[in-house]
Amino acid sequence: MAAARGNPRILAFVCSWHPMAAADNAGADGRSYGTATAIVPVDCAGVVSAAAILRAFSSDVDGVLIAACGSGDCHYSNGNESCERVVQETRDLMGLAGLAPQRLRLDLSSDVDGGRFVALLDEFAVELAGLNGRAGRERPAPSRSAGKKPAKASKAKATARKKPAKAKRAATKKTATGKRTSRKKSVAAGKKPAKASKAKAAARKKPAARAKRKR
Amino acid sequence: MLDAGRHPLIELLAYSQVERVSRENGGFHVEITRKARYVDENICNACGDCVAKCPTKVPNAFNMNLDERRAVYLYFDQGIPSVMTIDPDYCRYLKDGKCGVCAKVCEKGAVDFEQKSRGATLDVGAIVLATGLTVFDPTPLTQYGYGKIKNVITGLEYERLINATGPTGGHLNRRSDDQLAHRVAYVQCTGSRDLNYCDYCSSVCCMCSIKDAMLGREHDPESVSYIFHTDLRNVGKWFQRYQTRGEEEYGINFVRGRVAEIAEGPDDNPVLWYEDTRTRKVEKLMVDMVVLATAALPSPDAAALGDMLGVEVDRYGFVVTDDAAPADTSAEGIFACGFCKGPCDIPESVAQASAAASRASELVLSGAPVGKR
Amino acid sequence: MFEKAIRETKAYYCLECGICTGSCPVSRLNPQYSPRIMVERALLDDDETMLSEREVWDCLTCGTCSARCPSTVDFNEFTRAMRIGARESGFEGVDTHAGILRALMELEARRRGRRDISWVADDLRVSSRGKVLFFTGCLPYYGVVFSELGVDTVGMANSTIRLMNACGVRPVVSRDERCCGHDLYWTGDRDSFKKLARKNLKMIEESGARTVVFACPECYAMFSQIYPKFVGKIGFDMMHISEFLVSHVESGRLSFGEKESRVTYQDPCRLGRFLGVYEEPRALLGSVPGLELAEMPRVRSEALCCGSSAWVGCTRINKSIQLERLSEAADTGATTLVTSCPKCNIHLSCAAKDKDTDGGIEISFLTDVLSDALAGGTES
Repeated sequence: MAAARGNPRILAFVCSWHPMAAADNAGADGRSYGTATAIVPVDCAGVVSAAAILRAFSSDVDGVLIAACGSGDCHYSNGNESCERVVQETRDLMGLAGLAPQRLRLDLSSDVDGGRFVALLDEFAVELAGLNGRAGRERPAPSRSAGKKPAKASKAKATARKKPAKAKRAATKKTATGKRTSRKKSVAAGKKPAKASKAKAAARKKPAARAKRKR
Repeated sequence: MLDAGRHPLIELLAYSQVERVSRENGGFHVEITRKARYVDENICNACGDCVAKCPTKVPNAFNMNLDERRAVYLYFDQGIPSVMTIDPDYCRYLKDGKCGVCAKVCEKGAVDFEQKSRGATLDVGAIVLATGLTVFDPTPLTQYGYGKIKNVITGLEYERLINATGPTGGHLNRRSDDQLAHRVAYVQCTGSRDLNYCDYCSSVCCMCSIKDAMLGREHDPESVSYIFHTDLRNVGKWFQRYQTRGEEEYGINFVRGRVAEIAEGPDDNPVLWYEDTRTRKVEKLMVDMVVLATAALPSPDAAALGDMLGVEVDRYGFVVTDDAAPADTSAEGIFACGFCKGPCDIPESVAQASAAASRASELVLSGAPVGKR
Repeated sequence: MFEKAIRETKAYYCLECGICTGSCPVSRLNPQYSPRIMVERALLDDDETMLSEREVWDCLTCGTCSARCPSTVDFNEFTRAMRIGARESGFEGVDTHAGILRALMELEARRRGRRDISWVADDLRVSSRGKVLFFTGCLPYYGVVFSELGVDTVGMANSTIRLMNACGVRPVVSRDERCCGHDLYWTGDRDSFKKLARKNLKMIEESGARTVVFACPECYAMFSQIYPKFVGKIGFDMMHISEFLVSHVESGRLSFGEKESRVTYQDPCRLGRFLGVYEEPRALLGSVPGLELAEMPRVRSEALCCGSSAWVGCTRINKSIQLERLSEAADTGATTLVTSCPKCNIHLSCAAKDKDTDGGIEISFLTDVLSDALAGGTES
């Protein structure tokens, strides 16, 4: 159970050129990363479609990482650039659907250092744990059982969840009097992260400790 | 028809409307309105002098409004009784008190503007219904473009065009340019065997279209016809032979497949889209003229007549008759024959008429009080 | 396997007359595809082999065949039944736009997030609760996906709100709205469709709306014709924006300024053949002074489909249908082809872009045209 603490599910599309070399090196070095991370090697980051990313989110993935070659280093000359466009488009769509765009991360790097690769995953996991903790509303809802999560994290989550609920009620009240539009409401909702930042900070600490232990 | 008109024991009450029917003394008391013709039936000999001088033109309903008649007219040439009628909706004298030229030219003095519609009564022992049919208006089938594409016409319009007394004197001229139509397509089941309109088979259209196509070839040796059908229902003695003869001797092409859509091609030529279900291919065919074999319906006021007489009619307005006694309606003493009880062709109508007449005379001669005028 | 479908679509009434196949815009271009033969094969128990064939996915569900069928066989539902069967057997159609739209719909069915509605223009008035709700459908998403085509679907949503504001109505635009499920329904994904339907009905109930206005005929058709079949009675009124606006034009609350233009109008399958709304969009165009409506030969119930639907399958055949329609539109001499369905707009714009010829016809959305006329009206 302890290993699962702050262990968000990450789907990583890894280009089989530079980034995959980095992942291989991480393995050769005996480095480890979150157990809920799945690596999907792709010929080039340019083949990753918006649909594939969105489908991942439909299947209860917490975050999608695309590891592409650094600028100017694409084996197919511009796959990484087209991937940037896809990522931008997908983030726009995620935003409209109420899914935090930070859940999709693109890393453009030709660095084949395994340590960097693992650090990248760890850092992303921390960010996702934070997002999961604070934004109860947009978390993947159905199949994920609460029992999977350690008690502490779920408590933090529960408190974080309460706040948006309150904010929502307040917002509905305001609109009921006709003084506020729902757009203004969304601005009000945007303030919440500050309140939840405590929980996020707490969540950030733990995976870091875990990373140390593994090393 | 002429036989009936001349029969000494048959009195025709043409241009009349049955207003009310009640049962009295075991028979029927019938109230009738005899509409004013403004022409004395006993004097007029239908010479046509009045028609030649009448200045008022009216759409000719008998010719499917393809040409015009005058305000004084003979509904159609073989009509019985053969007397003129003045149309009060159009006649200048009856509307505005001006003109009256027909009265001036009539040598017999048959025109009578003072004539009024009058009531009449009949006491009869039995009634025979023979209210016939009307045809389906294909306008709702917008995919066939009737009313929009000029050279798409109905079967009845074709009948008038090919008829020597019709608007073109028997020439199959196109509505768009008055040129002879050589390539003619017949669209069967227009409104028939269609759950959206008439879910029954109109039964006469297959033979009718074959006949029309044969007539076309007789009038024009270059004529080529296409009959698009769901399946040909030529059920009668020698009917199959007739169809074969049409194919072999009259240039008729039978295509199995209902026409899906008619578009307007260049030069006002209709273009038919269809699946030839034998080759399983979607094809299009451009022709000079399309004839829609429209469904046959009971006459529009058949249902009202049924109500008045207490006779059961079905949801289309066809008179319901007893399966075991096919001339008998649901009301005793009332019989039916012909198309008013369901689609049938002329020989069958004649046979049914004889049956209904003998059922009626059986009843009347059996001792029930015979009607007296 | 198809027994239920045959029973429900009344396929056993088939006369094999060929009207469906002769009417089908796909069959005219693709001899392999025939609605009649599909029904025939189903009746002959050949359905197992059919499920794996690509023809299952070729139907545009435009409804022309069913509208003309003398036996009133519902071929659209027949197609849907085949697609459900195909999916269950592991066969899928080819998603258009690399599956992005389908993925979005599935995402909305499965996740809980609330939509961002910051796309609503600043000068417009919307609310979160009220009597009238504007169901935006997928318009905000299409704005991202189809920006390259130059189709501004967010603009369509905004012009719809602008017109409603002009009528004195401040519509609800809900953050809890979901895709209506149209495309998932017609591609045989029953589960996701039902999830979306339930979420939407709950959203409307919570908004307090008594009337729901749609800019997209597909959403309108789903709500009014399909939802009641699967999720029970609908407790609110529904109308297309054209129906909504016509009543305000008739009552004199809404009027337009002069706009000199010759336009033609594309009847969307859903709004036309499905819902029978033919006159309202025409009445609206007719109420704009100076706007002349030139009709194409195939209109109303005979209108040609925009060539693609439910984001499945887009081949040479679909493109040919679209180009055929565009040339029909251009032949009317109109400079603008007006549609009242965002998808017609997208599909025809795509084809027009591919065609890339000079003097091509401009494609506009109904509410954009009307909203522009509104602006002209206030200036003068």
